[in-house]
Formats: sequence, structure tokens, C-alpha cells
Amino acid sequence: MSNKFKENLRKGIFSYTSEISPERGSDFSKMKAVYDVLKDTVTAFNITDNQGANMKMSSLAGSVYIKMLGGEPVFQQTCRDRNRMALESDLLGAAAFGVKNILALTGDHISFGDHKHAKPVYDIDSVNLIEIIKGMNSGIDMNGKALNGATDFLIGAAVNPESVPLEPQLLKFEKKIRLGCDFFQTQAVFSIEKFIKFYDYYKNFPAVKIIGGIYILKSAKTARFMNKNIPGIYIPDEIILELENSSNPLEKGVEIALRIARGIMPMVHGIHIMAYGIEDAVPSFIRGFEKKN
Amino acid sequence: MIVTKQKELEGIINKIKGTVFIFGCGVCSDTARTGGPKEVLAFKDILEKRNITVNGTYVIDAMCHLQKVRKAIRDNKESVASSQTVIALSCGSGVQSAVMALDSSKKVISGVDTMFLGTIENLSSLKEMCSLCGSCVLNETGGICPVTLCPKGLLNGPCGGMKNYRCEVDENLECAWVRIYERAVSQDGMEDILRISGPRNYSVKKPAATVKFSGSHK
Repeated sequence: MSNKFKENLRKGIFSYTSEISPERGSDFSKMKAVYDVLKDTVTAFNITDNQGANMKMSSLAGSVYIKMLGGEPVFQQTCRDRNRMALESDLLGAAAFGVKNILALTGDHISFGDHKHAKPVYDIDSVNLIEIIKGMNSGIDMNGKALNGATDFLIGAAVNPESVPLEPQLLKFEKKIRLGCDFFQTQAVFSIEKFIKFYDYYKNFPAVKIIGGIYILKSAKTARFMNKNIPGIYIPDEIILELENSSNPLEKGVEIALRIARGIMPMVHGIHIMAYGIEDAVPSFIRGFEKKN
Repeated sequence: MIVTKQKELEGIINKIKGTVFIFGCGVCSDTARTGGPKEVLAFKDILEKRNITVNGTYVIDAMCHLQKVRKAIRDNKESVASSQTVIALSCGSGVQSAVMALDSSKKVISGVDTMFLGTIENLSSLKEMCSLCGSCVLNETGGICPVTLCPKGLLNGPCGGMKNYRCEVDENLECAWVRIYERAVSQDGMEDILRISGPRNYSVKKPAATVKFSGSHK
């Protein structure tokens, strides 16, 4: 079975990824609606794993569903809710259903979400998870036992290029690379200047594919909310002001996102577009992005 | 020391049967201000105002020490014997020492919740720095414990949620991995933190663990 995302990255074709969040419920229709909007322009679809520590349908089921629709899912796996055994068995399940891409994440802390009294698991971390997946790709589980059927995952992880300070973040980034991480999707980029500093570091690792995170902001209010409540997000005051002074904030948000995407384009292998609740804006954003380049 | 926190009062009072004897702990609960001489007397007052008879109180020098608890019971033989309920203002270990030392007819009630192993920063500030995990990583992390000080217990570096040196869970908390990193830089200890740390071995902690010694300690 081919993997369009992997092929694109290998051939150097600029890739677009975006997100589809499973519902709190057993209904697929909203996922289908978002997929239908994105399917002609987006290369691969990240299926979020209880995003923001809020309980949703499993990202495994969501990934299999997108696969069934003909899309290329990126199965997001966080270490927050499952121990090493549960993560491994879900990886095997995903592989059996033809899921080919994993994004290995630590996961936002339980305290952010809607199950605040739950036990945060974090049995292993995202670095360990990458090592496990690498082993499974070579036919063994984390204890070295042979698998009846190896996996064939493209391994992805996250990195926050805007992190202050950046160096401890790069320490972990480099560990992920050393273990064989194939691609990174970055946290939302709002400062090209900061991204250049990150680029100066990762250009030393030419084999790794970097997908830059682009967030389409719909209002100044959203931006302020994100700064306050979303871990690792740094939206500069100037951007918030631009949104505030605009008579059409969504249009302005798309314009800002385009500006950032164009700014980082020479340094990345693709972009990851986050547009929660305004997925309709993504296809025109991508077309606009391609037109001017 | 073990840091404790007083339980909600009504919950304790609802559990009481008959008359009461109160034990405190002169080591940790005294420092934690939950079960030293002052708190034991204050607790007695509260119960008496609710018309609950308190037959006696006694602060044991370390309630986690079973032999000392046995001695305290002997020293207060009559008033303990006449009490249907014994309240322990000590950590869970002390409460269970009382359960073991008393005959099975006695109801033992814990008056506190056991919170953490605390460092006494000063007598007004107790801070959790060690989680008693059983596989200490301090020699690899410059003496700063990420198992305890990082809410995710991460062993390979910070999560992406760290912001402006602060933890995503609590902005009053400095990111443990930023501290570890900065210390490694200043102490030329990068080699340690660049090493990839494998998954922790949770089997080192046995359920209801016991350590037994042979021969004399002294």
C-alpha cells in the first residue's frame, strides 16, 4: 500500500497537512464533512488524540475511518492516556488497518481538559515512543520480541520552534532525530525571525523533513485566548493588534497566515494548517499560497 | 518529612463512634501543623464542642514507628481502652501503625490526608522534591528531579508546552527541564542530559514492599 505523504516528502513535493478532530460521540459525520472540504488540497490528515486533554472518539478509530474514505491519516498518539502496552497494541491495530503515519506526542496535561480528575499516565515519553515505533518497523516490540507482522510507519514528532528558551527544546528535538524520527510538525509559527533561528539548527540534519505549523486566526479574541490557554503558543502583540484593527478579522487572519507561510516556505518541506472551526478557509488559503509562489 | 493536610471536618466527625482518643505525631505532623501538640488540643476542643467525649490525647514521637505506638498505647492504657474510636492525626503509615497496635475492636480514623514527601524549606514552607519512585535519576539530571518537578515526569527534555521558562501546568512553576538544562550548561554536564533515557522500570516498586535486615544495626 502506498503512502502519498511519505512519497511527497521523499520526492521533495511540498506537502500540506491539516487536522481532523474526532467527535465526542460515535458519529463520523462531522469528520466526514471536514474531510470533504479538505480532501482535494491536503496531502495528509492529522487525527487528533483527545486534543487538549478533552475526551473524544479514539484517534485510532478516526484514522482508520479517514483511511476508509481514501485519505492519508497521520495517527496522533499521545503518552498521556495510555501506558506503553496500550500504545504498542494500538500501533499494531493501526498498522493492521493500513495506517502508515504516526505523530508521537507527549500530550497536553490532563489539567487542561474535561477529565481533570483522571490519572495522567505518561508511562513513557514521546522520545521512547519513537524508539518503540522504530523497533516495530523492524519487526520487534519494545522488549525485543518478534512481531507476527512488522509495521511500516513513517514516524513523526512535534517540536516548538518558538519555545523560550529554545535550547532545551532542541535537546529533545535532537534525541528524536537520533532515534530515527522521519518528520516533524511544528507548533504554530507566529514569528519568522524565531523560525530562522530554529532553521539554523535543523539545517544540520538534512534527512529530516520539517512541516511548519500555520495557524489561521479568526479574531483577536481567539489569539488572546490561545496565548493564555494553549500550551507553548506565542502570538505577538503586533499580530493581535492587526486582527483587532481589521474590519474583517478572518480575512486578516488568512492574510497573516499566508505571510507567515510564505516567510517560512524556503525552510520547510510542507506546512501543517490548523484552522479549528474554519476549515472552509483552508482550500482557498492553500490556493492563495500556491498562486503567489 | 511526610506532609499531611487535615481532612474535611464533617467527614471525620461522621465516622466517629462513641468516645474518642486522639493520637498525634510529633515529627512530621507537628511540622506540617496537622498533628503536633497544638493541633491535637485544638482538635479535642472541636470535638468537645460537638459533644463528643475525648478521653485523652497523646503526641507520639514518630507515629510511623510501630514500637513507639505500642508504647504510647501502653502508657495511656485506660483512656485508650475506654475509647471506642482512636483518631490518628498522622500520615497513612502512622494510622496503620495504630491499626496494627490496637486490638481489632477499636475503630481507627485518619484525620488527615497524606500528601507528599516534603523538603522543609523553612518552617513555613514545605516543598515536594522527591516522589519516592524507587529508581533515582538525580545523578543524570544534575540533582534536579524531573520525575517530581515535571508534572509529566519527563526524562528526555521539556514538553512543547513550556513557555517563557514556565511549566504549562502551573505558571508559578519553573520548567524542571529548563533548570536541568541550565545547570548542565553551567556544570559542563551536557553529556548526561544528551543521553537518551529509556522507559522507567516500574517493577522496582513492589506492592506493599518490606525491607528486612539481619544482624544488629548498632
